[in-house]
Amino acid sequence: MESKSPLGVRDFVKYPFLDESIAYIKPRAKDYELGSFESLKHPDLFEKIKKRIIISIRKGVSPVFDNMFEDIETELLSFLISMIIVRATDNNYIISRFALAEARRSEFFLRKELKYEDGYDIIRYIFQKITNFPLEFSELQPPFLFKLNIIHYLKLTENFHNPEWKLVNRIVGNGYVFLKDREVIRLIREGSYRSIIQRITSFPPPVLSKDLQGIVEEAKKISPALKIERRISTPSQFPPCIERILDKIETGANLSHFERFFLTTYLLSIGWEIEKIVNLFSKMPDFKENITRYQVEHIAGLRGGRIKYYVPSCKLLASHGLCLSNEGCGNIKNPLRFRGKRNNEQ
Amino acid sequence: MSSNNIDFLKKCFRWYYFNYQKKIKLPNRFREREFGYKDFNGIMHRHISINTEKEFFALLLKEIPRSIYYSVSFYEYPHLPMDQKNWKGSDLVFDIDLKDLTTTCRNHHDFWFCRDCHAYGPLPAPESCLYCNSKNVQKYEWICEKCIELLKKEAVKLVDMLEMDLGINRKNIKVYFSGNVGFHISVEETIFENLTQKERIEIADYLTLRGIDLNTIKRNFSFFTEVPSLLTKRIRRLYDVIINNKIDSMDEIGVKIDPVVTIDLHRIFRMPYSLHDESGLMKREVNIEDCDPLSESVVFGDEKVEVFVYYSPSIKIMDQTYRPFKRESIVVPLYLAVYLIAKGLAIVKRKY
Repeated sequence: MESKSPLGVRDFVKYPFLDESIAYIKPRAKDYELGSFESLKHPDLFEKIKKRIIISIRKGVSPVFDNMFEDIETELLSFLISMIIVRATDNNYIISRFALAEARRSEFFLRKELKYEDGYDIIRYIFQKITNFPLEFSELQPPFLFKLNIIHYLKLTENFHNPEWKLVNRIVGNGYVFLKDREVIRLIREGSYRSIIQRITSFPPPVLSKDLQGIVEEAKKISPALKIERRISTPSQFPPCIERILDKIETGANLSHFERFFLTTYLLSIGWEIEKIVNLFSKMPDFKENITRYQVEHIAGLRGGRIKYYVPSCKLLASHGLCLSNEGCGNIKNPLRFRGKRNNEQ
Repeated sequence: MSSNNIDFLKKCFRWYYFNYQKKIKLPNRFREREFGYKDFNGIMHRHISINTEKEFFALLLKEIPRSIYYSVSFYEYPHLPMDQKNWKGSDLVFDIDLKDLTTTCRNHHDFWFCRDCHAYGPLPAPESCLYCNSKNVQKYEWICEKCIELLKKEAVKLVDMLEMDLGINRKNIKVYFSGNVGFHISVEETIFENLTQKERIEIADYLTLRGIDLNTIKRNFSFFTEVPSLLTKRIRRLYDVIINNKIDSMDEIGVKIDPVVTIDLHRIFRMPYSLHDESGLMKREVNIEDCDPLSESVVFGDEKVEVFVYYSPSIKIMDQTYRPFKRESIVVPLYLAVYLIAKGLAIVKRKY
């Protein structure tokens, strides 16, 4: 997979999370002591850092600055320092949300690459760099220009919900999944998202100046609280399968399509209002209110086919890997029948 | 089961394990696997680790298990409780079982049987015995030649998809007759070992067609005027159904595996060449296109044994078809006696 990089410094601005972009800017970052960083001394840099973080949290996409190619150093530094500040929040929602926003920003540039002659090579190169998985050109006709090993495909699409990504709906042959160019770009976004999170969480807790700490506080202020109120009257306790999903939300993790579906049917059944459920999903980094609201209302039977969906059975949950057997639920067939653990023993 | 029957079965199993232990080969990476067995009192023993072949055979001959299993997963500490084992990987396994197939012959040969008063009758099984009211009523799946053909067809389809679609080398795919009413397929020593449970669900869904979205597939097919030759049978069949509107039912395309087996990383699997507790037949590797499991898996001889059979539908075993037995004493070859006794449908007439 080692090949000479086709990327130049302008590409580092577009894809600042690549190893080579970081390697380029890192030596220059030494001149900035974050513990005594003053916004007045570096107004442009401070402005960019602040916008990168705050706009990312508010809108879910990191901003593209008009002057990004004019001062490449400031541009790249703003990404690097933003990551360190995000680390300082110690908040999984902010970390995921920021990583996703930066990955989405780059997705915009990747789409543009397709217009150029060497676009496919660039995309393939970036894909391999960011995922560490080889991507091959396919033998099929366009638009199925690429193919990816099934195992690598499954690892990358693990958190995707749209049915078009399910393996059962893909063109598969000889151990490969065939991909369109735009799909490869979507996978790069996923790879970038993961790699940014990994990079952020690998930083030690930083010491920040008052000005930079101000950004940390603001970021926290505009983020939803992740803690979920779990005291409910009926039933007395959530079943372990639901508890585990709530745990995942609290750590800022993404949920699979089926997990979301199951959680929604369950919460509706125990009488949660649609508003309250939408509010719960707003804790997830990829939250989009209109889509979530539609889906929750759909499951409640208020939209689309007007069918109210029932809570899946324990057996079905098991076949989706969501049943934690051995958790002492007793001999129940549906999570709704769960009446608290070890009640009999008390 | 009566103590006479238990003694009889245990004697037979002991004879097999003493004389044919060399047939049993430990699985690859056996030191990293959990072993488990069920004894003749019906007690399950788990979380056993095995370090040498000698240790394994000592256990086998000392305990004479009614069933013996190994984990499909490898662990750092196979002997510790589940949450401390430290998972390292798992074979990719599939179970094709009669219960998951739609067969018409089932109506002819499946039945219920009361464990208490030994009454029986055609399905559907009653909640409690029609004669003695006992709740101890069991549903029996019987296996006939048609069933075996259908099971084989599914197994062939599965192996084809594993090879052609998933790109798994045939030499890494092992097909076993389970010893009772199904086939086990195991993919060993491939990169699929590292798949997480979630990823295994995707593989299972791919094979069973669960979650298939015809519109999505149709959109993808719209780029083809015909299916490119390098693509698989599965895609060609889907194309025929979706684009050419050929009435080839979707049922023919998916494979009827039990998805829970494939995604369960804690599963233990019967040891190949060990005996199945419900039939006395051995689980063994077969050549799927051309096998006769109800002959190849027989390990006992044809010495004559007198048994009393409560009920048994017709069965073809060792190439010989036996008529149904209904509440009668009869002299049968040892392998059939073991089969019926293991199923709980007969008792041995005198101490053997």
